Amino acid sequence: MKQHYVHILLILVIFCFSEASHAETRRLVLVTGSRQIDQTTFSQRDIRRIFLGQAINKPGYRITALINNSDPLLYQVFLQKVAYMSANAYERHLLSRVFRMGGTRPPTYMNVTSLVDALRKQTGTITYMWEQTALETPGISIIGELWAGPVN
Amino acid sequence: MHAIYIIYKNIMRLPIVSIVFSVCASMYAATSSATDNGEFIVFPTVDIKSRTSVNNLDQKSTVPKADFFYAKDFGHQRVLIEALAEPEDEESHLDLERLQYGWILNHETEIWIGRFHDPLGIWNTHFHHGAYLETSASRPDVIHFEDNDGILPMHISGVQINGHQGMDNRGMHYSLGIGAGPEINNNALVPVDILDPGKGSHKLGSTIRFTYHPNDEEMSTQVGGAIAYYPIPSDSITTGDIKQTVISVFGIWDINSFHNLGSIFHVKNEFDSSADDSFTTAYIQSEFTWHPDWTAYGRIESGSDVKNDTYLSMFPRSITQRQLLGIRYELKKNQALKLEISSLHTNDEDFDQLHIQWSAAIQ
Repeated sequence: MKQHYVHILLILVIFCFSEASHAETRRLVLVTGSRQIDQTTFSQRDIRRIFLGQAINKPGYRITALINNSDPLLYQVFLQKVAYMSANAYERHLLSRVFRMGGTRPPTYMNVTSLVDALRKQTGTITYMWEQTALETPGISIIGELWAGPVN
Repeated sequence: MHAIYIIYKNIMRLPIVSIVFSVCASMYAATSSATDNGEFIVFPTVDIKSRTSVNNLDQKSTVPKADFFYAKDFGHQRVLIEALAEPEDEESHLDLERLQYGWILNHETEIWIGRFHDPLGIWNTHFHHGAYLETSASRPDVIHFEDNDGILPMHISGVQINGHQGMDNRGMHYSLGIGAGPEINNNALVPVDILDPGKGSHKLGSTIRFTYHPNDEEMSTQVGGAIAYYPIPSDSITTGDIKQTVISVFGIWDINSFHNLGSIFHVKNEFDSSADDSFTTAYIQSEFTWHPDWTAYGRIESGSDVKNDTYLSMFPRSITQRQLLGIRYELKKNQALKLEISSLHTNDEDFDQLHIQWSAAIQ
């Protein structure tokens, strides 16, 4: 009987470790393609405001957001850890803001190539991506870490 | 099946709807690949209402509408246009709701000229005709549109100044609107037609609103107040011309998972041909989102001194009391289905209403 329990425990431990091995730690980072702002520090509050459509002014530059929707998992992590909203609520918020005040919403990019291109060309723009992608992409700088944790 | 038949029958008889959806499709194709072209958003809505009353046992209506919105920045200048297509007497009708040209003076201040939403409270400026943006299918009666038995000015034509003052983590917003208000014609408020501004008789009035944000984040907790004064020329023999003063306080606040918004309006009218009169009306709406796709909500509207008010007697269909329960379901991307049941009271009749609304934001 005792041996039976040991077997069950062993199976559970193996199961848990095998699940954990699928969960890899990833980092969501804030990046820019503008050298003029790559030394700028942003508070979490500033970052959330920018991604909610409120451009903010740092000395000499107007900081605006580009939305990276090139990877569904990345977008979900951004919504949960930066915007603190569901996708519906986030998109409704951006629409509502433009409806009231005019202007434009932060543009959304469905692929990394065009996102990085826009990031380099438009001074004062920031976005988010996985750290690994940022490190492998020339011409952009990491200016902060937004979140780190295991993802399956 | 009957409901589907009603929608089909009503939609197909309106030529504007086919035009609306053709324009939607073409503009969508154009703008989805060109973010620099500004924002073009269409808010289509289909309202189905069924009501019971003592006077008329079973009234049904299906009303399709489409609100066209366009905004674009040109450096520090900004253009905003909003037009509403809706059926009127078996015909389609296009109303220019907003036509604004603005200057962004700095990050905190902007000046607009044109026809804009009266900043009287929060609901009118936050949602207006963008039905998809508001959680509920209906809006409180006190801020109904002028052309829909509304009782207060919802549009001003003139100059608007909006400003923001940040204080650490807090913020104070102000909005000042000065311009021509509405006139009363055949027991209805008629705002300035911006495409024909000389039409009718309109006088200069103003609204000022202050909003305090304890944590300086939009759509989060905020409280504020507004004061408006409008001389309203009227063709009513009973009242003559009217000098209207509106004082409003409002708030948005969250308690646990409940999102609440409410306003109180005190309206004082001085009449040329009658004794002065005043009434107070208020609404509070609570919303509870238990799943990203599902929100339940309820609203209570009530008033005091509304029963025999001289001004309200010109608007016999205005709702003096309402109790409402509703549910909102997010369909596919940027579409919502809402269902409301409500008990309504006017000065003439009481009735219950079932209101189903499909709304969307097409970009």
